[in-house]
Amino acid sequence: MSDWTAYDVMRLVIAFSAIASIVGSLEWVRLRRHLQDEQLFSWRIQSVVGTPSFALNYVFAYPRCLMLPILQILFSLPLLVPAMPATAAGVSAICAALCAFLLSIRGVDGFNGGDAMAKLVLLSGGVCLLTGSAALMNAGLVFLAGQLVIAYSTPGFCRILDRDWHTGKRIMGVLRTETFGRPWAWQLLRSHPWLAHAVGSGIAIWETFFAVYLFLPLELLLPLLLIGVAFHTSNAVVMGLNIFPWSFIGTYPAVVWTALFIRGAIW
Amino acid sequence: MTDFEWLGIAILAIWWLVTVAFQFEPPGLRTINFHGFVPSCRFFAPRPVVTDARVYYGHFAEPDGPLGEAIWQPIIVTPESPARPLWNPHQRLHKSIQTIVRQLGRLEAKGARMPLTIPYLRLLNVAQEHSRAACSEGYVRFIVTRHRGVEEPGRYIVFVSEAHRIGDV
Repeated sequence: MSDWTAYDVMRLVIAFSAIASIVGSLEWVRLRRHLQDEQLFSWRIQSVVGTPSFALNYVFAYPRCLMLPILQILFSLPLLVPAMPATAAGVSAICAALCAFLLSIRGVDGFNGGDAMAKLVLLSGGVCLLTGSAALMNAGLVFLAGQLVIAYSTPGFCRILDRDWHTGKRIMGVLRTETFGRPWAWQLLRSHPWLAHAVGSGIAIWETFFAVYLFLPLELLLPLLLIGVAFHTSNAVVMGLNIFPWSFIGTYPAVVWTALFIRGAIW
Repeated sequence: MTDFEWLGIAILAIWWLVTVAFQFEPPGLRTINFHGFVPSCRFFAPRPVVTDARVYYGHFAEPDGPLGEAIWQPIIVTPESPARPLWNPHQRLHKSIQTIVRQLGRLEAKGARMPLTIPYLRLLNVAQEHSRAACSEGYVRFIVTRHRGVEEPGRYIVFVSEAHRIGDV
C-alpha cells in the first residue's frame, strides 16, 4: 500500500460500496411489483403519514418510483471506473446516496445494515472526493474506519455481556429460522455443541475488540481482517446477508489506511 | 490546513460522535429516523430474531366466520434460491414483514385502534389485493403467525385482523 494515496484508497472503498449499491438497487428492481399501490410498499398507504409535497407525491408514485433504484445503478456504475475524474466520481457517489435516501423516505423498509454502510460510504466519500483535499480524504478514511468500529463494537459489546451468546443458544436460535438460517448449518451446530460455543464466543470477542485492531501492526491486523472476510462470507452463505460483504469488507482498506496513519507510516 | 478543511473534519467528527451516541438510544435521538446515514448497529444483538413471522390471508362468507373455515394463503411467497449468498431480494420482503409485525405488536400493546394504523393497513392492503384476484364478494382477514423455523414447523397465531369486506381498505 506504500504507493497508494488516500485518494486511491477512497476510490477503492467507494467502488466496493458502489457494487453493494448496484446489487441492492437491482434487488429493488426485481421486487418492483411490491412497490405498486396494492402491495407491501404501497405509496398510497405510506403517504397517509404526514402531508407529502406535490413533488414527493409525483416522484414516489408507482411506476415513477422505480426511477430511484435505476438512477442509483446509473450513478453507481461509473464509480467502478478508476479513470473517472475525482469531481465527477464525487457527484456520482453523492447522487447514488441521495437515490437510496429517497427510496428510504418513501417508506420502503426492507433495507439492512449493509445498505446503510454503503450509503454512508457513498455520501461521506463522495463529499471528500468533491473537495479534492488530501487532508479531508485522510479524515474521510479515518471516519469510515471509525464507523466500522461502531458497527462491530456495538453488537460485540451486547453479545460479549450476554451469556447465551457464549453457550451458543443465540446463534442456534438464529440458524433455525427460515429467514436467516439454514437447516444444514443448524444441524451442524446442534450436533457439535462445542462449535456453537466457539462460533458464538468467537464472534462476540472478535467484534468487541475491533477498535484495538487499529493500533496493531499490519502482520497482526491483516489476519484479523481475514477473520472478518470469513465472517461476512459465511453470513452471506448461511444467513443470506449478501450486501454486507461488499460494503463491510469493502471498507477494510480504510481500516488498513487508518492503522498505518496511526503508526505514522503515512501522512 | 485551511479553515474549510477544519470545518470538514469537524463535521465528520460530529457525525461519528452522533453515531456513537445513537447506539445508546438516548431519548432525544431514539425517535429520529436518519435513514441509515446514522446507523443503528445492533445486528442481531443482544437478542437476535429467533422466530419467523409470516402473514396469511383467508376468505370468509360472513364477517364472524370461524378461523378454521378459511384456507389460509401466505401474502408473500418467496422462492428458495441457490444464489442467496449473492442475490437475495426476497429477504428484504421478510425483513419488512418482521418490521411491520414488530410495529403491529407495539401498537396493539399500546391499545391502538388497529385498523387505523399504518402497519395494519399495509398488511390488509396486500391481503385485499390477493382476495380481489380470487373472489369478488365476502370478507377477508389476515393473521400473523410465528414459528421457530426448522425446530418447530407448527405456527402459532399472534395476531388476527378484523374481517373486512373484500374491496374495502
